[in-house]
Amino acid sequence: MKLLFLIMLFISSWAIAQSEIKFIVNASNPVPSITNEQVQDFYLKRVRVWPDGIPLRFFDRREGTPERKTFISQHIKKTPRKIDQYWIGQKLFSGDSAPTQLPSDSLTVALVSRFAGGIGYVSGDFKGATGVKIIEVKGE
Amino acid sequence: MIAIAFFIVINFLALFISSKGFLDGMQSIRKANTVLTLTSQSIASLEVSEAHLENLNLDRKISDIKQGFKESQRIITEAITTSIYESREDPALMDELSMAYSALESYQQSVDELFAKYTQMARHKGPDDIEKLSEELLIAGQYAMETKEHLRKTQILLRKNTDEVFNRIYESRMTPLVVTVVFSLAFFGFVVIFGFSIARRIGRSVNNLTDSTEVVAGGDFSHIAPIFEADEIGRLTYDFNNMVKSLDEGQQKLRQTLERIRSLQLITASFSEALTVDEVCEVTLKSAFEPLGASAGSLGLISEDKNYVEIIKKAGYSDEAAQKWKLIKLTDLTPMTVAIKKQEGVFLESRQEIGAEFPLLSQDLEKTNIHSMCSVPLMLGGLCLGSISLTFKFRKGFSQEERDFIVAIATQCAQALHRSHLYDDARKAILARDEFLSIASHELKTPLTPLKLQLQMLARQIKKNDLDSFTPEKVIKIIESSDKQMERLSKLIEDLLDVSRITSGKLSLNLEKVDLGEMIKEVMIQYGNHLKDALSKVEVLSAPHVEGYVDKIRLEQVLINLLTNAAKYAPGKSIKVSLEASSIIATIRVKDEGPGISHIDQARIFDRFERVKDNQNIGGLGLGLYISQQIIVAHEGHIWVESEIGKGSTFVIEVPLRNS
Repeated sequence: MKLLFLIMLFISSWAIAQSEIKFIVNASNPVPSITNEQVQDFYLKRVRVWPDGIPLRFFDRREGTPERKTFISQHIKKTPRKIDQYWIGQKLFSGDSAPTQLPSDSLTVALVSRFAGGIGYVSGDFKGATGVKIIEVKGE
Repeated sequence: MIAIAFFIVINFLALFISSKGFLDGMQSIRKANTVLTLTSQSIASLEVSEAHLENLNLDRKISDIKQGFKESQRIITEAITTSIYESREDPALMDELSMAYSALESYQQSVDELFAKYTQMARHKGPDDIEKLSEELLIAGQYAMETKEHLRKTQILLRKNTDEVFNRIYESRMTPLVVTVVFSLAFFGFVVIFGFSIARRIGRSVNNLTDSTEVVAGGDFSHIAPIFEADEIGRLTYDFNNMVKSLDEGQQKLRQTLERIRSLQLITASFSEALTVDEVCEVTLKSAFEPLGASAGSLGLISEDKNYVEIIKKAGYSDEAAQKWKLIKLTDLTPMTVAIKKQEGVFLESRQEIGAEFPLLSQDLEKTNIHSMCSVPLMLGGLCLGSISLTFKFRKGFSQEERDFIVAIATQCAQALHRSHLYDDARKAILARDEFLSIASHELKTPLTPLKLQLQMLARQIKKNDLDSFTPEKVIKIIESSDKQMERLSKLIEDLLDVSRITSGKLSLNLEKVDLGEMIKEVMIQYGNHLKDALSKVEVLSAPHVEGYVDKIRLEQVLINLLTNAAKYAPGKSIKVSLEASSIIATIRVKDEGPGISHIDQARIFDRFERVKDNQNIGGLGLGLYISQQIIVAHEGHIWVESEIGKGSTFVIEVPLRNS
């Protein structure tokens, strides 16, 4: 029984490990990699442009999706509630809205490929698609 | 009044300036409110347009959706455009609104594409179509979101600005009050200080004027009251100073005038004491020198021939200058001669003036260091006697008083000179009379003494009965001698009587036709014995038939007188008598070879009681030539002498030859 519990724990941790995410950017984007601090800045709209001046558009995923959970917990490192409060505050004090939340990988890929400054995240088993490229995030 | 008006104007100005900030603030708040409303409206409209697009998935009629979207878009575009216009003065707002507008355009574009794609799709859409539509909707949503973000940023900026304006107004709510109070205080302070200072200044000026008045009242007319301000009191002080100055000048003039009067009195006294010409000149120069400060002066009189000015007194000049200007021709251009000719004073106040008007003096100016000079004529009842000249070693301005003073001295001098001349004449007359009396008594006594002696001798002999000694020869000799003495006596008495006649104007001529040559011959015969006695040889050179109406006896008397003189002064020498005549004038010359007569004596020998000074002790009353001259003058003729010392004398008579 005890062994069974350990096996399940292992499987579940694997499953969690399996729900990691990949960041994609527009294929024309010359940036090879970004840091996690940059990811936070981009998401929270503290930085609005890429180094080359292209307007940055961050695409979020719908709440409740595993990708978003992973994104919030591993990259933004805030509770969803805190994030909601943050955006309410932003709407009042800076006028910024929370990034658009997309329902699926395919739509994320579609929108990232449509905007030159687009950035989004997809599930870990994403293999790549035309118009986008996977960007490495350092310091996870 | 002016101060109060000024105060009110200043306060109004202060209020206006301090409340201008409020008005500006209100204005910007009004604009902000307008823009806020417009942006809120835009955001609402954007949401409406998004809602319209959502309907695409619900298969609503595309035309209705388009219509709704278009309406919303129009409202948004207008609102943003108006906002941009309203915010034109704020660059930050303009920036945000411009970006909102740009995002709106992208939104419009993406929606247009969406509509185009939707139209192309089949009526019954498959899952791919749905996916595609979602994608397009999301893209349009991106732009809508961007537009809203910029609008919201605009609103935040507006709120921030409004807050700032409110804060500013709130913070400066007390400013008008403070400004008014500060201005009032400042004005009050200014009025107090200014008033105090004016009062102090006026007080000081008044005190100063009072002090000065006291000083002047004490007799110090040289005091000048200081002037502190150019105000009414300053003007009063200035006028006061002028008044004191003119008082002082008046006093000084009075003093000077008194001094002059005193000095003129002294001068008058001095002049009255001065009897001789020399004394008069001395007094004149002395009186003129001291009060005027002259360095040198001279007094010149017009010579008898009226050709020269003779300097008879000078003081302060160098020997060289004195020598040079001893005798000045009246025709020369000098201050003295000009003063005499114009009969008015010549006053030269500068060296340039002297040099310009009298070039003759320009050489002397440098040598003698003369800067000013004056010459005043010596006037005596319209007659000019000469001139006084004074020179100064400094530049002298001659005031009217000084000019009058010099003229007064000159007048006094002229009168004194006249007096001294009269005195001199009187003195000389007395001297001549005394001399005449002594000579007359001697001359009258001379023939009487031998007469008396002879008579006494005769009487003695008669007493002794010595009648034998009275031989006829002796008696005739005694009678002849006595007759000679009597004749001499009678001649003397006759001369005296003639003089008396002449003096009383009773000398009358008995004119008759006379041949002058014959007359001379008769005189020679008649007078020959006397000339023989004097051992004089007489030569007569007579033109024939010279006839004219003359008093024969008187003319003979003149001729005899001249011959007697010639025999008296040149005994033993030859005498030449000549007669010449033109149609109207006869000229008789009596020439001797005597000692001659000096020029000085020539001038006076025709005067009464005058005789040539001699060493021979020749007797006579000195009346002969005087009587002769008077006789010739009565004939309207002339008599004169031509002579030089050692070369004899020639007496010339000119008598007009009248026909009746």
